[in-house]
Amino acid sequence: MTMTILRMLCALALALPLSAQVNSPAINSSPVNSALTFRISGAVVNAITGQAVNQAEIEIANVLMPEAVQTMTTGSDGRFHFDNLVRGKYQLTGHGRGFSPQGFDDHFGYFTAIVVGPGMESENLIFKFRPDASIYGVVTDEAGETVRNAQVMLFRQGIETGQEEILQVKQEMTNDQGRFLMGHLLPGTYFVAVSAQPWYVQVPQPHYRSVTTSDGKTQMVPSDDDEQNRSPLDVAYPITYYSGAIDSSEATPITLKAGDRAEADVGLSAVPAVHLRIPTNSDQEHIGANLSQNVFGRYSIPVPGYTFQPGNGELEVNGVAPGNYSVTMNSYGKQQTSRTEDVQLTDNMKMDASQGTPPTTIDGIVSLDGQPAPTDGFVQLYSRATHGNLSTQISGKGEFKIAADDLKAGTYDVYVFNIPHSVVTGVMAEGADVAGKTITLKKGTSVQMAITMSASLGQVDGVAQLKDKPKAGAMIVLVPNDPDVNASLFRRDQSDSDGTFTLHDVVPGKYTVIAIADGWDLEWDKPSVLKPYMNLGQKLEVNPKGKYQVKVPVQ
Amino acid sequence: MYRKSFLPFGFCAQICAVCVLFVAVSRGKAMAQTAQISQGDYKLFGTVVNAITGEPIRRALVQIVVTQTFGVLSDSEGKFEFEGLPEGRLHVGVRKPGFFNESDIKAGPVIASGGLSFGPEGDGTKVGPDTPPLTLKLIPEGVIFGRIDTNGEPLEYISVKIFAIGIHEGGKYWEQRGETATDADGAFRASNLQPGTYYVMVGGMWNSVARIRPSAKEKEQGYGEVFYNNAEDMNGATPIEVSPGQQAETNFSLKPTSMFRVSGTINGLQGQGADLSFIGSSGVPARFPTHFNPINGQFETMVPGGAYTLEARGFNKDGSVLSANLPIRVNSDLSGIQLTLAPAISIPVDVRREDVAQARGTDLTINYYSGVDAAGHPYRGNFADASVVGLHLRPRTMSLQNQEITSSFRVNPGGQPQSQIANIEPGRYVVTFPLNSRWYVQSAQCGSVDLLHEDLTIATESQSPPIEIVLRNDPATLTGSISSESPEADAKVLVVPDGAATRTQVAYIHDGHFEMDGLAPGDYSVIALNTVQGLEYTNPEVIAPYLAHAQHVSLQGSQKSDVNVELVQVGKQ
Repeated sequence: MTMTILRMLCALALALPLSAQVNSPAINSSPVNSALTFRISGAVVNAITGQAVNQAEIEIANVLMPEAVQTMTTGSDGRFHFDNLVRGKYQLTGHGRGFSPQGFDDHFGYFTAIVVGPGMESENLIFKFRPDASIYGVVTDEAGETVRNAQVMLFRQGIETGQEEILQVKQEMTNDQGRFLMGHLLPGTYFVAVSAQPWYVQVPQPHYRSVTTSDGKTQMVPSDDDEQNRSPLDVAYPITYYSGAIDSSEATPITLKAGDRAEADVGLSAVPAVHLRIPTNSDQEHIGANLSQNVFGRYSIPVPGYTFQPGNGELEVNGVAPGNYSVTMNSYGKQQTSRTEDVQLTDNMKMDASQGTPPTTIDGIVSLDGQPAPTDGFVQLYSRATHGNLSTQISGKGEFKIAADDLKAGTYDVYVFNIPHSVVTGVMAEGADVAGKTITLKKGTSVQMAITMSASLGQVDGVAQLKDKPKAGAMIVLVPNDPDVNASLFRRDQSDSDGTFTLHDVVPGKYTVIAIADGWDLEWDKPSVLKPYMNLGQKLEVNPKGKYQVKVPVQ
Repeated sequence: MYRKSFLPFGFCAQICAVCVLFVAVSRGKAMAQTAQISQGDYKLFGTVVNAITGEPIRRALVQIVVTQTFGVLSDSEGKFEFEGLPEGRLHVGVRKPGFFNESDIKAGPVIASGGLSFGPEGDGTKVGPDTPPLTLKLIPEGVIFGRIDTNGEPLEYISVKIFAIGIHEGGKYWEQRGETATDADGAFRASNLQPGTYYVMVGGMWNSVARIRPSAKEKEQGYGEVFYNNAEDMNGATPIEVSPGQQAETNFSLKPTSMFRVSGTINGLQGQGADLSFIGSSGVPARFPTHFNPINGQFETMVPGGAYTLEARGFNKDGSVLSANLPIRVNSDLSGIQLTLAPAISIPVDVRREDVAQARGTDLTINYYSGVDAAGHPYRGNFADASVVGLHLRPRTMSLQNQEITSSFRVNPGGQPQSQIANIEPGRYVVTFPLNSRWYVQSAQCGSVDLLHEDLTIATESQSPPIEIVLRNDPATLTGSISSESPEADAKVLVVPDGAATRTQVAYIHDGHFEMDGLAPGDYSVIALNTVQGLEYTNPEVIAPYLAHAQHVSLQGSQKSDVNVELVQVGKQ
C-alpha cells in the first residue's frame, strides 16, 4: 500500500490527534466463500510491563469497508476476539486509558493489518499497547517565583519525515502555578524550550529634551541619555532550554520510553535587555520589526519585544535578551518592502540602513488532468532545510497566489494537499529554477508557476518475502529515480500479516521497491541510506492507471 | 498497512492568543527596592501588603509617574522606596501576577488586571517634606480548579467556561469571565478571578482539529455542555462563591453522548471568510471540531445531540457585519443545512413630540442630557437642538456581550421615519433613553413591544417594525438634599417610578445635593444609597428593603419638586 508522508500544514500537526481513517485499498481478493468464517483474537498487553490491558477499546474493520467498524472492550485479561469474519484483510487498532490510538505493530502510523482466511494466522495475536509518555514541569524565574503564561515548546528528534531532524511537536502556556503538562507523547528524544517576558519589565520610554533652534523657537527632540534613565527592571529572558541552557545546541535531551513521565523544570533568569535601533526612511510611515531566533538550527521562533518609533527616523526595539536573532523589517509605505538580517544583538546596537527587498510573489495555476484543480486544494512549498513553508488555498479557476514578505531563499518541495487520489506530477516556473518537484526561490522575485496534477495514478501491490516466506511488519519503500528532487514521489507501507502491501497513488515513472525488516529507524528518504538496499530491490516502471504485482525480498 | 494523517483546514488549530506578559508568586532574594529619580529631594516609601491577610508582599511592582513612569520591586519585607522626587502629587500604582489592585477591583471584572492601573484615584499621593509611609494593598486572585473525567478516565481538551452575573445600570446580565480547557490529566485551572459568585460550565471540545468521522455508522461520542453541579442550564447551576485568594475545587464526571455529523453550506460569503458557531443553552458559542472551506462555504462538524442556534457571521467588503442563524435540533446526522448571510438588521426610528401649552424651559438655548455609563461614570451631553433623543441598546444576549449601541435621533415633524439604527445583530436588547431636561419619553413602541417596560428582541431575516418614540415637553424636575453623617464619594440617588422599578434613574450627588431633569409625571420613591455598584436596583425585590427609607413624591407635568432624603447603607437593611 502507498503513502506519501504528508507535510503538515500546521507545524504542530504532529502533536494533534491523527485520524485513524484508512483509505480502501483495492486488493485482489478471490471470491468469498460465505460458508467459511474466520476469527481474529488475541490479547492486549502493555508493551513495557507485559501486563494485560483492561478496558482497552479494540476496533477492527475490513480494509475494503473501513467505515464498518466492529469494536469490543477488553476485560481484565486483556483478551479480545472478533468472530464470524469473512475472508479478507482487517485493520486492527485500539486505544485505552493512557494509550493513544495505535495500530497493531504501529510504526508512526503504519501498522500490520491482519489477514484472515484458510491457513492464515489470525488468532492468539499479542497486541502490544505502547503506553503514552509525558513531560511535565514548572517554570520559575530568577527569584524562584513561578512564571505564568510562559510559552513552553516541545521538540522531538525523529525520522518520521525520512531524515533525522528535530520537529516541534507541542506548544503550551504555563498555568497560574507556572506548570505545564505535555501528554500523549511517543517514545523518543525530546527537548523543552521556554519563551517568556518578565512580568515586571520596565520598557524604556522615549525621552525628549527641549532645544532652541536657530530661529529662537523651542523644539522637543528625542534625547540620547539612555543609560542614565535605564531601569534595573529593563530586562528580558532569553529563550531557555531544559536544563538551563540558552543555546539550543546545549539543550539537555530528555529520552522517553513508552509510558515514561518525565519532569523538566525550567528556571528563567533575567538579563539586561538590549536596545536595537534601526534607521528608517522617513517617508515610510508604517514600519515594523519582528525578531525571531533560530533554534536547533532550523526553527524560527518569534521572540516578543517592544518596538516604538521615537520620531527621529529610527525604529527602536526593546525588551529582548542579547543573542543571535533574525530581524525582519517590514515597511508598508508606497512600496511594500521587507528585509531580514541575521544579527548578533548586543547592547545599544544600531542596525545598518539597507534597502529592503519587495516581497516575493508567486502567481500560479494548478491543473488536474487538464482541468483547473478544485478549490479544496492547498498548495504548499516546503523547505526541507529550514522547515519553513509557504501555503495557500487554491481559488476559483485553479489559481493561487502567494506573497512572502520574508522569504528564506532556497529550494522548496511542491505539494498540493487535500485533493484525494491525485498528486503533483509536474512543476514549471518562470522566474525560478525547477528540478523535479522542487522549486528554488530567490528573494524579491516575481514567479509564475504551473503545477500539474494527475489522478491517473498507478498502484503497486506486492508481497514481502523472507526466504520465500511472507514477512509481516517490514518497511516497504517505493524509491523514485532521482530521489533528491522527488521527495513527493516516495511511497511507504508496512507489510501486513500475510506479507502483502499496497502502494497507492503512484505517479507514473521509474521506481525501485525495497523491503527492510528492521527499517523503522532508517532515514528512508536519504539516497545514501537507501543505497545498500537498492540492488536487491524490485525495479519497475509505472504507467498511468497501471496496476503491478511485485515480490520483494526483505533485507 | 497505514493510516493517513489528517489535514486540518479552514479553522486550522485555533491557537489561543495569549500575551506572554504576566507571572506569579513565591519568593527568592530581595531585588532592587530603591529607585533613584534625581528630580528633587523627597522620598516616597512604603509597604505592599496582602489586603486580606495583612502580610507583606515581596516582588510586587510599584510604579509612579513623574514625567515618565518609574518602577521598583518590593523587597522581601514588602518595602519599596523612591528617592529624588520633586515636591507635589503623583500617581502610585502596584501590581503583581496573582493579585488585583484596588483599581482593578473598583473597575470590575471587565478590565483585565496587569495594566498600569493606579491605586488612589483623583489627585494622587502627596510628596513633600513629611510624606508618611504608604501602604499599598493587593487582593489575591481567586481560582476555580478541578478535574473532568468519564468513568474515572480523565478527559482532555474539554472546554471550561466561567460565568458570572454582572450588574450594569442596575440590571442583571450573564457574562463570561474566563475560559480554559482540561489538560492530559483532565485537570483545569481558571485563574485571575475577582471575588464573586461564579458558575462553571464544561463540555464541547477545545481542540478544533479533532477528527471528523466520514460516516455516522461509526459510533462517535462526545460531551455536551453541563453546568456545575450536573445542571443543564444556568438557572439550575450551583453557584461557586470565590473569596479573595480562594482556590475553589469543582470536579465533573461526564457521561458521553452521541455526536452527530452536521454539514451544510454558508451562502453569501463575500470572500472575507466567516465564523460558524453553535450556541447551546449557555448562550455562548461552543467549540466543536469543524471543517470549513472559506471559499465555497461548505462546512461539516461533529456536535453532541441537543438544541442549538447555528450562527454564522461574516463581513462585507466594507467591513459591515453579515449574519445568519438557524435554530436546529440535533438528534441524528444533519446534512444540506443552508445558511444565507444577510446584512444585519436596520430598524427605522420615528420620533414625534407632543407639545403642551405650558412647556417649560423653552427659553433655554443649551440643553444637557446625562446618564451613567457601563463603568458607572456619569456622562453629559450638550444638545443645542432640543429635539434630539438619545437611545441606548444593551444586549442581553450573551454572545453579543460588550456590543452596545448608542444612537441619537431627531424629532421628525413630518411623521415619516427618516432615520434608522443600522447594523443591529439579532438578539435581545434592553432599550434605555438618557434623560433630557426638555422632554421625557412618553411612549416607545416597536410593534407591539413596549420598550419602556420590555426588552427588544430582534430576529434574523425579519423586517423589524419601526421604533416609534413619542416625546412630551413638560417633564418634571426633582431636586433634593442628602442628610448623612459623612457623605460618601460613591453615594447616588435612585429615583424609582412606583410600580416600574425597571425604569429607575440614577442621580449624582454634588455637595450633598442632586438634581434630576426630564422625569415623566408620576409617583416616585427617592432613595439615597452609599453606593449602587453591583446593586440590581431595577429589580423590585432588590429595591424593596430600601423603600422604607425613601421619600415619596408625586410629580405633575412641568413641576419642580424638592425632597430631603436620608443616606442609607446598602446591605444593612
